[in-house]
Amino acid sequence: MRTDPPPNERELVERAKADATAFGELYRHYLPRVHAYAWRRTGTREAAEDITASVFEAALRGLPRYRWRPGGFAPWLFRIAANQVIAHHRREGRAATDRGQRAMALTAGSGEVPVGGEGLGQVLIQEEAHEVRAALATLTARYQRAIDLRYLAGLDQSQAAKAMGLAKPAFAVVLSRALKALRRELATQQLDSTAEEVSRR
Amino acid sequence: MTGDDNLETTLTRLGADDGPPADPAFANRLDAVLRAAHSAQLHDDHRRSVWVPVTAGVSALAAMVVGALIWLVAFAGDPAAEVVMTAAFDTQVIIPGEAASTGEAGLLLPDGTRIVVGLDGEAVVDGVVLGPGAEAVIDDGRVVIGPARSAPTDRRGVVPETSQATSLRSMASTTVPNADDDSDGDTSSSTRRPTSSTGDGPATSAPTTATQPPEPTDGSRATSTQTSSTRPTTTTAAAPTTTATTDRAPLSITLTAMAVPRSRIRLDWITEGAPDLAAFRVEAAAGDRTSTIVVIRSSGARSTTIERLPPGASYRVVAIAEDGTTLQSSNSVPQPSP
Repeated sequence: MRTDPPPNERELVERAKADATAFGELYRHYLPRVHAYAWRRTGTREAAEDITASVFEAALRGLPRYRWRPGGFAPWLFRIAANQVIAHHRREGRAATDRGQRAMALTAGSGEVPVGGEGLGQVLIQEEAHEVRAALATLTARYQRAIDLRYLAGLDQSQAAKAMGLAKPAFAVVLSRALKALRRELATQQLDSTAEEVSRR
Repeated sequence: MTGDDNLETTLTRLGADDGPPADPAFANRLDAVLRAAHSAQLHDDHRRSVWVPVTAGVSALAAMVVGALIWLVAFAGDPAAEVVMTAAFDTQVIIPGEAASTGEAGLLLPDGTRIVVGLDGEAVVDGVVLGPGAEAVIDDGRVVIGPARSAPTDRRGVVPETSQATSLRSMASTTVPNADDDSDGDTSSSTRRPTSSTGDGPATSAPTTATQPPEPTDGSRATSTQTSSTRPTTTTAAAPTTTATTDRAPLSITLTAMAVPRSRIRLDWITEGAPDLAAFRVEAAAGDRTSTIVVIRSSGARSTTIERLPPGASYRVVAIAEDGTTLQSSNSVPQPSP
């Protein structure tokens, strides 16, 4: 989900510092994106709502000190969002594999694991997403932020770099390292999973 | 799923999945709470900030009554939240994984950030004033004053990302009996302290230190001297309020507070005894809530300056051993008037 910034965003942000209605406009505009991002990173509505609330509370607190920068309001807001997601995972103490949540997600609603055809494909995609979420949560905060901002928060490369406070080349380097770390973690999870499977038999 | 293209494809696909839309009821509730908090924030006559705890999720949100704003003086470090540098002059900042840069107001400082103040400089980070020559590190969302124990750098002077200052998490979160330290991750009232308020009144040149401290609640007895507001007061430390088992020499801490220019408070403390202490934790309290302002690695330092908190705040200093146990806490001192 990428939405254009609200019209006259700079002016709106300035007004929002002193005007609750203007802040409300900002909130309403960015709520879907923030909520979507939080959901991508956690996979549950409850956690997404917790994080969304935290993000806008933090944004409200920090708004008086916010200074407009090229790239707009989104990089700043999603920087906050990335930090709140990291905080959430720390609090929840997620392990490398999120089996319980994965199982719940798979059986949510129908109580059955859909099999065959599109259902199976969807299950596999969900499995993949859970694995990525779990692996992502084990990375350092900096790497999580880089991947979040580039792929999951709906920011383009330039905005993601700005959100990290980096020039684009530097951000590219950090992102490359982050992806490498994520691959390593996923490979480790795969090995752990296979080893468990073998030991169970 | 570990091929290069596959991973990026997976991430892109994940990024395109918006999931279920936000529940309208949740969105409306949060809207109302934020509007109320925003209004309260603006109506603060003394530039205090009133924080409404909205972070505890749906159930807490539902329980929140719009307009019934809880006034909190909260400062506990949120592990995820970055600390804000609100002022800086002649200050260098080393953020993990980045080259050293010049400190400036508005900079967000993540955990592991080192702050080095020049000999003519000053910086204010999360309400803590770092004077000339000071060094500090951000640890677990708190300012920890004192040189980093180990911060290896590569040849470019960049601190490797995996290289963090020794965490004082155990020191920063040790709870003194009867204190309410919210550093255990409870975010139901996770808030951030107000930033400095300037122009509160004329600068004071004479100490206006503590008057009679509040009665201790733990049954210990304290000796205090009630004084006028123009004479420094000295209150002796209460009997130890901790249960640390140690065979170290008894330690006593006497704390005084003084209003200084630019809406700041200077805290000074004297220690007696021969403890093997590692750090001091400066705490502020309001009502029944206590939170850590700053942690100071003991190097002979017995003083710190912080930005003034809203009225009603009080302070105390807690001495911490190397293993994180609490050795002794000082008397509690009310914030002096401007």
